[in-house]
Order: sequence, then structure tokens, then C-alpha cells
Amino acid sequence: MAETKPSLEVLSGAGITARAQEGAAEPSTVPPSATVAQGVTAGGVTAWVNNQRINALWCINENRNAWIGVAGVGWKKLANNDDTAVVALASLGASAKQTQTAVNYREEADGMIHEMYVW
Amino acid sequence: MPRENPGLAELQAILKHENATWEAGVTELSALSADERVLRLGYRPGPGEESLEARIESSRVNLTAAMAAAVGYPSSYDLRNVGGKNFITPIRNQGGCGSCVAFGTAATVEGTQRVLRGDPNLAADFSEAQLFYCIAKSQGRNCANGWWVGPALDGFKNPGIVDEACFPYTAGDQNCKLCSDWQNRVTKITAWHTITNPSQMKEWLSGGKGPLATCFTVYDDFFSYRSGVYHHVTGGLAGGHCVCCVGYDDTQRCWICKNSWGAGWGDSGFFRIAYGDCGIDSTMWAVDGIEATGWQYNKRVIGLWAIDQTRNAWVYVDGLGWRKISPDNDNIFFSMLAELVLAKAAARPVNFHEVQGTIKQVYVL
Repeated sequence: MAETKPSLEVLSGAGITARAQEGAAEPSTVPPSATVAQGVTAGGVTAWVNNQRINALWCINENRNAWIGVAGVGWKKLANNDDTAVVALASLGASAKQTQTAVNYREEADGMIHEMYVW
Repeated sequence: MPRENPGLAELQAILKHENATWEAGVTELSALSADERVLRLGYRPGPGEESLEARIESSRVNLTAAMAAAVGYPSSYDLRNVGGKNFITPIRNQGGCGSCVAFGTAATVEGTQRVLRGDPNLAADFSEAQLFYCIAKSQGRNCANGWWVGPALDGFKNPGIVDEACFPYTAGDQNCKLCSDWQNRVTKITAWHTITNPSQMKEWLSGGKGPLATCFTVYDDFFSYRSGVYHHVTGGLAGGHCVCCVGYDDTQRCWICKNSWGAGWGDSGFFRIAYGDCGIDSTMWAVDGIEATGWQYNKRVIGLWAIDQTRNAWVYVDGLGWRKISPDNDNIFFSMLAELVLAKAAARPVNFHEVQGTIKQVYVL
């Protein structure tokens, strides 16, 4: 059975900036400052999308299937490789939806969000 | 070369004749023999480090930079009085054991922890005994042959250093006698590095980073220092010594340092030493960060982070930086994550207990 996706449309657009693959599994940036800037499209499979707002959330009774709606970008699926990771990412997305504060996220070639900062 | 060792009256006369910027007097070390005095030192340059003579030459080369007009940092700074706050822990006494490296590095980490926490009253007293009688001893060092700074700071990285009560210091070679729960009591540093440019030393000291460890050549006149800005005038070379640099003064052209010879020596245990003198500013050692263990109170969560890895999420705590959420099991991780996410969203203060940078218990208030 094909995996379900959110169907409600959100604004689409792109704001992607490239960044080298990070090996260290710990946060590396500091709170919003000059380091957080609106990105531009660039090549590469790893892309950081910075200073975004979350305007929608979606989930369904399917295994590891949760998405967040990014204003100006559209629906993005949260990484589905691990139970605890998808729940943690969903928690951060929900918080960002509520606070309407800046989000930076890393999108991989699979189109999913694999890493996220919420400020 | 025979050692000169003038008596106090003779030394005072020489200082007066030379218009020296410091005064000599009776100190707790004045009455000690030359051999006993040497045991109050204990710095031996390590492999790859400058010799004492090379440090002196490097300091002379650095003198121009040290004298340069202050740019990007204040013209004087003293971590004992930052807006009335004293971030430096009390003076200690290494006694008759060449363990100065343990004392200089412990003082530096203690001061760094207080500065980084912004808390001049933070209980910070690390075990020089563990540093010297456990770590240095395991490397073949003892009271007679001394040590150097890098391995001491490496000991702070791993295995970490316990509080003083876990292994209290007494002078004299002895076995490593850590308390039974020592592994739960260690504090670790994240990293350390050296600074060789005096301007950068001043930037570090005045920039909210903490004090610096440093080493220099001690001559016999230094044992009788009471006040003023020390510069070597007379007396033979006694040996290498490590201390903690807590400030500087461009007007007096000197560094302000914390010694480990008790409060009865020098200026209540501290001294000022001229820029470029005795190798004091050839190289200094900086502690990059502390992986703390203990309670934090009334903090704000201002950032969240998660990644596609099992139980790996962090929060950014205002004034402290990133802290990892306990990954001990799923329900612990999710309970803590939920509370901290709420604390951020609702802008509520949190109290939390951390162990080496990992949050283990949370109150959201």
C-alpha cells in the first residue's frame, strides 16, 4: 500500500542553502544571529533551509509518518529511520508551529528533514 | 654556576639601588632552605615544549605585542574584581611538593567554571591530589621531578577531576586514594588550547572566558616578593613554576597571577609580574569549556535541536549553551523532551540537574 501524504496544500517555494555534510551528532550553531540567514538554492544532496516558519502539522496512523508544513516551501516529511528521532523532530516542529519562531532544517536527497533547530 | 642567594636585607638594598618596582619582605618561604624552596616549584617543560630558557626568549620577543595599545579589550582587567565580583577561588598551598602544575591548572579550571556560569560564588574546588598523585604519578611524575600543563588538562578531559573532598591534598608523594564514588563526582573540560600572543591572552582574560594557566622561571629573589610588579633583579635560577593568570594591567605593564604558596606569601598569595619577564607570557593555557555536573537554577531554554538518530536531542540554555537530553531510555528521553519543549514555548524557567553536560532531571516552574 502506498504511503499516505498530507493533501492539504501549503504555500510552496524554495529557500535552500548548501552546507557540508556534518559527521558530529551534536548541535553546532548558536542562537539566531549572523549565522542564520535566508538561503539560496545551491547544488548538493545536503541542504540547509534557514529561518523558516512552520504553519501546519500532519500525522496519520501509519508507522513513522509525520510531516510539517513550511511556510513558502510546502509539506516536508520528517526522517523515518528511527522511532525516537521522528518523535523528537515532530515535537520540535509542533513547538515551532506554536511559537512561530525561526526554524533551520537540513533536508537530504530523500526530501525528508533529518535535522532541525528551533529558536 | 654558583647560586646567588642574598639575604633579605641585602635583597632590599639591591632593589632600592635598582629602583625596582617591587618590594621584598619576610614570607612563609623566606626561612626555607634552597632545597625546600625548589620543592615549592615543580614545572618541567614537557616533550615538544619550550625550555625555560626558550620561554624567557619568547616572552622578550612578545614584549612588543604585550606593550601594544589595547585594541578590542580593556587596558586592565582583574578577575578578582569584575564589577565587584571575584571569580577566583581562594589561595591554596602546595607545601613541600613540586605539584605546582596541579595547582595552576586546577585554579584555572575553577575560575573558568565560575566565569562561564557567571557565578562568583559557585562551589569549585578540584582535587589537586587526584591530578598529581593519580594522573601525574601514573606518568612517572612525583614531588621531586614535577610535571607540565598539557597532561594535567588532558586529565581534566578524561577521566575528569573530582572535588577536593573526594581526595584531599596533602604534600608528599602518596598513593592514589580516590573516594569510592569518584566516577560520579568528576568534572570534565571540553577542550583546551595554548595562546602565545599577549594581546590574545588579554582578550581571553577580559572576554568572559576565564583565567589562564601559565609557567615561568623562578629566581631566588621571587621567594621574598611581597608587593609591586615583580621583575627579576638578582638571585640564581631556582626552577620552573606554574600558576594561574587572573588579570593584567597595561598601566603597570604587568600580569596578575595567583600563586600556590599560601596567603602568607606575596600580596595575600597573589603577585604581579612585568610583561615579558621570566617567560611568563611565552605561552599560556586556556580551557575552552566545562562539562559540568550539578544543578542549574532558573534557566531559560531558547533553542531546540533534533536529528535522525536514536534519542539524540539537545536544548540551548541561555547563558550556558547546548545541553543534551538524557538518552537513558525512551520514556526518560520523551518525558524530558516534552517538558523542555514546553518550557521553551511557554518561556518558563527551568531548574535542571546535569551530569557532564547531559540533563538528568528537570523542573519546569
